[in-house]
Amino acid sequence: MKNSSNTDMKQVFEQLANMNKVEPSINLYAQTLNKIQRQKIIPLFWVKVVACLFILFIGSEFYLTTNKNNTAKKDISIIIYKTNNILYDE
Amino acid sequence: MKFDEIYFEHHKIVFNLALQYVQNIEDAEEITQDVFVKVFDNLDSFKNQSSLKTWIYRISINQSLDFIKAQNSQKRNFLSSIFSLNDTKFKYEATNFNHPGIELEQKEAYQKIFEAINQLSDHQKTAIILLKIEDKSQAETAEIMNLNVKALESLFQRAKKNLEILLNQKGYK
Repeated sequence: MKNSSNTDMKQVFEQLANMNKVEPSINLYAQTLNKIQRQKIIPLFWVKVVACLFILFIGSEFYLTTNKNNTAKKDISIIIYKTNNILYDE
Repeated sequence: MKFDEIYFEHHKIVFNLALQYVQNIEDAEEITQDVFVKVFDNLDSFKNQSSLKTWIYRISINQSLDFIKAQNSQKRNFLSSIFSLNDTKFKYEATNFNHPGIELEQKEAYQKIFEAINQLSDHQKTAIILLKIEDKSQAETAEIMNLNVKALESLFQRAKKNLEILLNQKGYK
């Protein structure tokens, strides 16, 4: 089979094999340990999300509680009104 | 085996392997860190189904390929948004070709070779890197890639043919 390509693949592979191995930076170990440590810390984003949800929860509880008190006042005023009617009819 | 022992025994292998995929020091360092974070996280669950070295090789290859996919994805989204492109064939090009394992006067030739390698599929690229740059035997490479030797040989032949075509297109001589 005629090889019409211009590229000598044997030469290409020889070039690849002749590349030098490189020594990694001595700081890389410390950087790796830092990365491992950072994994364990809860990201600040999620802390803020939880804080917002907590504030929303407290706020809604406060709203519901004050709303309940207002409803109770209405109930009392209805009773007083009925009582007044009964007395008046008599 | 303790983590620091594992690190110092394998960090050069991992770093150089990552370098063959990304061709610059900064990215190779980032990948190396990610590999050892994964090793640290999964060391307890490593069940000795393969050798530790093979396991670390597999993690390194997967992390390198994931890094490249992430880079391609960012590139595709950025260019797509500007040019409304739907082309999904963006292949990794080292943003900064700075492979310290090559001599400066040969940089241009090596850059062409790596540009061609970067255009191969993940499996073909890995076969070329392990067999021809890392100088692994067929048996070792087959074990790392979880293939039988015949399948690896077939994969390598396809990779070699495609690489030749790509180098011809790039005018490499």
